[in-house]
Amino acid sequence: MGRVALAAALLAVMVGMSGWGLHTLENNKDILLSEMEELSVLAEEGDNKKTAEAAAILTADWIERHRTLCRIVRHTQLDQVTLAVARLEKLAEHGDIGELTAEIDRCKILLDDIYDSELPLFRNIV
Amino acid sequence: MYIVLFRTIIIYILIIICLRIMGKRQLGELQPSEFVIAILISNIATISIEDTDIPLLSAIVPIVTLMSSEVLLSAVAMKSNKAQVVISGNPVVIIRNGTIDQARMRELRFSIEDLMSQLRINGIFDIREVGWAIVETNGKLTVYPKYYARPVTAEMLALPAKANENTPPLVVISDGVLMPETLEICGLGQAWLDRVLKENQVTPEKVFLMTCDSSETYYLVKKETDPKWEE
Repeated sequence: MGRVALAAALLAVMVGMSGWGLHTLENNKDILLSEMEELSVLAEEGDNKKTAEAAAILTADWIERHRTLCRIVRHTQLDQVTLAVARLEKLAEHGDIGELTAEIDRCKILLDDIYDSELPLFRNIV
Repeated sequence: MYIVLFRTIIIYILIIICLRIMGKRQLGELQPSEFVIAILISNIATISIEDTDIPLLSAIVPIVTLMSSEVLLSAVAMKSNKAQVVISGNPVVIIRNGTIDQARMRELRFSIEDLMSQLRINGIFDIREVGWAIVETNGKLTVYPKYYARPVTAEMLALPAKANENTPPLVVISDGVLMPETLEICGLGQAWLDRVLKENQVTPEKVFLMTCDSSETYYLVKKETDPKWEE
C-alpha cells in the first residue's frame, strides 16, 4: 500500500509541477509583454535615447527570465525570442522605428505562442 | 558534454527509482501494460538524454507520471477482476483435455510452430502428452501434462518426508562475509556455525561459499587459495 500511496503522491507532485510551470510561464509572459508594450509606446514617441535604454533593460530582463523559462520550455522556442530581443537595442539606437516595432510585435507573438502551446487545451493535446 | 553526462546520470537514477517503486513484477515477465510502460520510459529517457534542447523536466514529468499510473493501475487491477481483464486480458486455453482449440489459436495468431516451440521450452516434445496448455497474459505458454507424462513426485512414490524437508539451503557465508540472518531463518546459532567451521579447520574469511538448511545439512567451499572441497 505504501508503494501505491507514494505513486499517488508523486502523481500529485507532477500535477503540481505542471501547474507551477504554466503559472511561471504566464507570469513571465505578462511582465515581458507589458515591458514590450511600454517600449512600443516609447518608440512611437520618437525618443531614441529613452527607447534604447528601455530596450537594453528589456534585453537584460529577458536574459534573466530565460534562465527560468529554459527549465520548462523547449530551448528552440526561447532562442527565437532571444534572437528578436537581441536586435531591439540597436534598432532603437539607430532610430529604425518601423523595424523596431515590427521586432517588438514579433517578440509578443512568439511569447504568446509559447504560452498558448503550453496551455492544457484539447487542440494542444491532440 | 557535461550537460549530457549529468542528464544521463539524473535520468538513470530516476529510472532506477521508478523501477524500484514499480516493484519486482516489472522486472520479470511483462504484462501488456508493463511492456508499454517499459518501451515508453526507455524512449523518453533516450530522447531527453540526447536532445539537450528539451528541458529535463519534460522527461521527468512523463517518466514519473507513467510510473505512478502503472502502480495505481496495477493497484486497481488487484482490487477488481474486471479491471484486471481490461488491463492484462485473460489467459486463453488452447489445448483442453488433449484437444487443440484451433479457433482460439487462430484468434491469438498462435501458429503450430509457436505452440511446438513453447512446448519444447516446457520440456515436452510429444504433443500427445499435453493435457492442458494455457497462453498466459504475458504470452508465455503454461503446460499441464497428462497424468502418465507428469514427473514422478515423492507423494506418488509415497516416500516419507524428512523433518524440515521444505526449507531450501540458504547462503550463510558468501565470499568470506557472514550472513547472520540465514542462521536465524534456519534456526541455527553461532555456536553451530563455529563448530562446523572448526570441524573443517577454516575461518569465515577463508570460506568462498557456505550454504545450510534447518536440518543442519551444509555445503562448504573454501576460497581458491585452498582448493580442497569439504562437506
